[in-house]
Amino acid sequence: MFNSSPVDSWEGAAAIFNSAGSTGVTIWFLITIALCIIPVIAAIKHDNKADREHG
Amino acid sequence: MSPEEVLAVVNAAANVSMEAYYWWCTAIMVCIHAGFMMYEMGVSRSRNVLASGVKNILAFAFMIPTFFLFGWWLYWAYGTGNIFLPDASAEFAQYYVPWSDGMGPNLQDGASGVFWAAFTLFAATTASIVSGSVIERIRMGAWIILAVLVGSVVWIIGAGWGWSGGGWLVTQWGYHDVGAAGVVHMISGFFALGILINLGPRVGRFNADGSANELRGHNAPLTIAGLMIIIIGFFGFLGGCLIYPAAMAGTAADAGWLTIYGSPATLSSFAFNTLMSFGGGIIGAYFITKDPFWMMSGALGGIFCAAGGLDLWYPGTAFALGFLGGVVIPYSHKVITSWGIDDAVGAVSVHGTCGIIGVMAVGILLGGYPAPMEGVPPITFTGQLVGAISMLLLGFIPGYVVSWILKKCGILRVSDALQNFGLDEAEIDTPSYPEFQRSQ
Repeated sequence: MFNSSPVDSWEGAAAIFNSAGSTGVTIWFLITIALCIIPVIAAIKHDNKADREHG
Repeated sequence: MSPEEVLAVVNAAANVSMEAYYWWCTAIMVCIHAGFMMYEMGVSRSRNVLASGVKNILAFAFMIPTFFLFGWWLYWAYGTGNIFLPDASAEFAQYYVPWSDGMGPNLQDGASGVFWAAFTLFAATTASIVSGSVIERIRMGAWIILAVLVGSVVWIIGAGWGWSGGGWLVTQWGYHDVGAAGVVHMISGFFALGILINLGPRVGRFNADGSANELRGHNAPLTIAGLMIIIIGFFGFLGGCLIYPAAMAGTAADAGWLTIYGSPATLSSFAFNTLMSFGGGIIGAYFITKDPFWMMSGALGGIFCAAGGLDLWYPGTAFALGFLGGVVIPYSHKVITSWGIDDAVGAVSVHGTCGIIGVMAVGILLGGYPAPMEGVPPITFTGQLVGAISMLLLGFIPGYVVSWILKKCGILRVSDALQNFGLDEAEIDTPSYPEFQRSQ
């Protein structure tokens, strides 16, 4: 569906991951950061809820 | 030394190191079975703990001779492009009949034994995946038949189709599944679903109105530790999915690691992406459930969601796919339970659903990567879709049909009375915790 290959041939290929050398990597990089931060926020909220209900 | 002598020494050293590599991959893969055994015993109620353990051990044990007798041969007989009938005339199929020179100690062939061993452990993994779903109510004889069927017949046909350079899914559709998301996990997950439909739920799992009761296992810490041990084992499994460079030392293809399809790869790419998807799966499941059972299942599901393209993902993509797996599996399990299906460990969700994600993520996100061989299509969405449908049907149909036959023969399911009595005392004649009162 998305053509993300940075190579047309394996001959002499170096970085072969999806979207290597394009803005796609920046997008995946930002998604990774977001998916780390959002659960931390959820964890804090969960702790607070547990504290309110049982603390 | 002459150049020829130097090459001979290099080849000999390389072949020995190749043997050692697969030997240790196989040893590490045993952790998958140790982990599954702990996991299933923990999920079982205290009256069924040892029966669940015996079931798991027997599946592993039966896989070894049956994979020697016909499983390994089937791989090579389906690896030349045949879909329905095995190609007995294929060169390696002839070489790997169980009475050939290649199927035993042979000083000119150091590779066959260690490759066979690694594949035998892959086969045992498929049976272990199914094993947890059916605990506490499947009869031992039926289980052995079904375990051998999935491990030494069904999945290895799928491997011949889509996990070998000559399989029809690869040569005709460019199917790409280096870490066996479809070949192992989809097939096993849907094979389990086929059985579960005929096997029925454990006594007490569902009420008359269709609502489900939670049948809690007797030991959650054992379950969670078992899941972690499985993950150790999967490092051996995934390492064993690569072709060691020395296997072809002295040839044009001796430059580095190769995938099962013969495309160049690095062990580093597997390291990046296995760990990132593992972390993503745990965090995703924590985000949704806060439940350590689903968090560790999420670690597995996360790896399977990235397994198809472990050689090609940007690590951030593998992390996101793992996260997706961790988020999806509890919901997927809920849907399957709402159909009245009692999957005791969520294997259909963790392996089946995440296997689909793993295969289709390659089609959606990795389009255009070239095949290693001339005349073979690149990775495409359509090719992965054909592969996913093939793996789903190849897993589900034999699981459903053979368990239906076993059900009609009256040898599939433990009676309700025996389930209530407990399988440990009835079948094993030993309680698992004799000094403690058992749960009901």
